[in-house]
Amino acid sequence: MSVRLRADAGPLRDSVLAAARRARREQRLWRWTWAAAAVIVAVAIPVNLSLDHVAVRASRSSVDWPLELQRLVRLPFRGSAAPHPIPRSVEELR
Amino acid sequence: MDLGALYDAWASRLLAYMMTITRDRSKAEDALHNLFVKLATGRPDLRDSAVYLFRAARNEALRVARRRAERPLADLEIVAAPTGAADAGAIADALDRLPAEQFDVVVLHVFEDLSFRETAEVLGIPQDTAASRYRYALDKLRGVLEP
Repeated sequence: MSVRLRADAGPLRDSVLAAARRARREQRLWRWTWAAAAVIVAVAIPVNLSLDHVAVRASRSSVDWPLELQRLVRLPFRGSAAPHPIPRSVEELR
Repeated sequence: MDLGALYDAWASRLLAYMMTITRDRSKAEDALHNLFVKLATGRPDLRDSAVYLFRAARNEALRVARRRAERPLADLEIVAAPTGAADAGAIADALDRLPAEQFDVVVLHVFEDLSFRETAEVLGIPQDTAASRYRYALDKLRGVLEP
């Protein structure tokens, strides 16, 4: 037998292992949370935006508004393709 | 990794080793607690488990203690001496007279049965340095312990 160090860690066993397992569970929960957030950022948002674009294009092509009506209401989604308002002279306005 | 089995196999040795650094049982217990939380949440490389665990234990004990305490080792009553040899208190007193770097080598090589390679890896020093510190430490211990 040689000189040894001795200390009994037995009384701490339950509390140390419970804390370690709790920390491991919390870490897993955080990992899943980050994974879900990453999926939302990487997939869900771009897909949603692209679907919105498809819907807007479809609405543009499906509704054939009369030109006069477009001028009157100035439909916002026509963008730069929308016809510019025709400036009227003061005499016309009177 | 089975934490329970790891705890049963190593916790008492690690706690004693940490007490030699913190010189305080409650601080060593805090360090042991932190160490097992890190083992549970990290990816420990346990291929060379003695080296990994003692190095992690040393780092955690130094972090908890912030600096080496000056409390005498004999107060902790963690040195178990064989019958017929010098009593545990005398061995603890002799160890306390060693410089810290020699003390570290003696604790790991003699008390914890680590090889010089393992001791050197735990302490982050070359193997030859560990061996020479051990020789110097033995000379000093002989001078103190032999009548």
